[in-house]
Amino acid sequence: MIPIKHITSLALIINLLMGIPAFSQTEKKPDEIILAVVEDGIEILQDPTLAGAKNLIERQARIWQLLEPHFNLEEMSKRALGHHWRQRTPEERKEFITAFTSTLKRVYLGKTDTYRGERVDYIRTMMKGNRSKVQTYVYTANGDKFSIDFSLINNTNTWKIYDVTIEGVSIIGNYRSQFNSILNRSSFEKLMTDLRKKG
Amino acid sequence: MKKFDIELSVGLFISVGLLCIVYTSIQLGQVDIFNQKNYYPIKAIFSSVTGLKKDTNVEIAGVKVGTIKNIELENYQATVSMSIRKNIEIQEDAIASIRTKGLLGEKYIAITPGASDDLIGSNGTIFDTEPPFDLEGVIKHFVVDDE
Repeated sequence: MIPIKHITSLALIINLLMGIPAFSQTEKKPDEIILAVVEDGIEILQDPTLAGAKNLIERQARIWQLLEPHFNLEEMSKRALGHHWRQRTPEERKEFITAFTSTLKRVYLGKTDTYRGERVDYIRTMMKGNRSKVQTYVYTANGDKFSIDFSLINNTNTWKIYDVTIEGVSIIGNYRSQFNSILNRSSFEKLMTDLRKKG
Repeated sequence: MKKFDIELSVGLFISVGLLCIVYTSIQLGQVDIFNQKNYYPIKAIFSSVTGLKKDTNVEIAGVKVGTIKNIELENYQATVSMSIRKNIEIQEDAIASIRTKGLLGEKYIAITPGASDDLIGSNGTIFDTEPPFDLEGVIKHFVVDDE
């Protein structure tokens, strides 16, 4: 029987030899992730080869490709459904995640095309356990200022976004209130039908 | 004997009167001195609490579940201390929002329950919060925006 400390040392040596970091020291911080995503997103939106109405589908596909890995869509769906999530079966939860993701894509991907040279300034990061909130200000070309806070969760050793709060209004909080109101006077099936119709 | 009866009656009358004054003060001041053990303290951090006052309600689905005990500035953010009824469970992914009763009414905190199995215990903090809706700011953007 090999002692645990020897197994740890062995794993460390193997990882070093393979060039893989043994610990998540290279893991990006929440603010680094947000600022990198914003920068890459602006780059896509300003790419002349992707400009114009004829490149809309390609442009939005590239934006989604960039954004998707940074969003925890299961966590977002769970939080949007609130306490109703616990009453749903695993199959219903899966269906809901798919339908809710389509809704988010439809609603917010189209909005990226309204980019008019806004600048994003990082303010600060708040941390609490495996959650963090990155606070930013967005300055428009005519000098208006809007606050946008990104809420992130670290469930799988990577920080992923689970909510965005624009001018104090949480996207997930807003969906939670809407879904709660639908589910209190109607059924989960009705909510799914509505989501699929709109998604 | 007769004198003793009068003194006793006056004493009793004053005692009952004082008790009535104490009871009325507690009721009017909404001081919950007898039920403190039935509540637990939690906190929530907001970027702004404009218009929110101490001793106002904390509600879930429009039902009062607690009271705001204190509002302090910490690290340029507002920390709101609340007292929540012991039988009310608040999930760690619950959202605390500052809402207004009516269009121009008093501000209060509304908590929307979350999906998590982990609960916020005594002295815990609600991480996800929404500050009050800035109606003035929206009107300003609406009036100034020329697009």
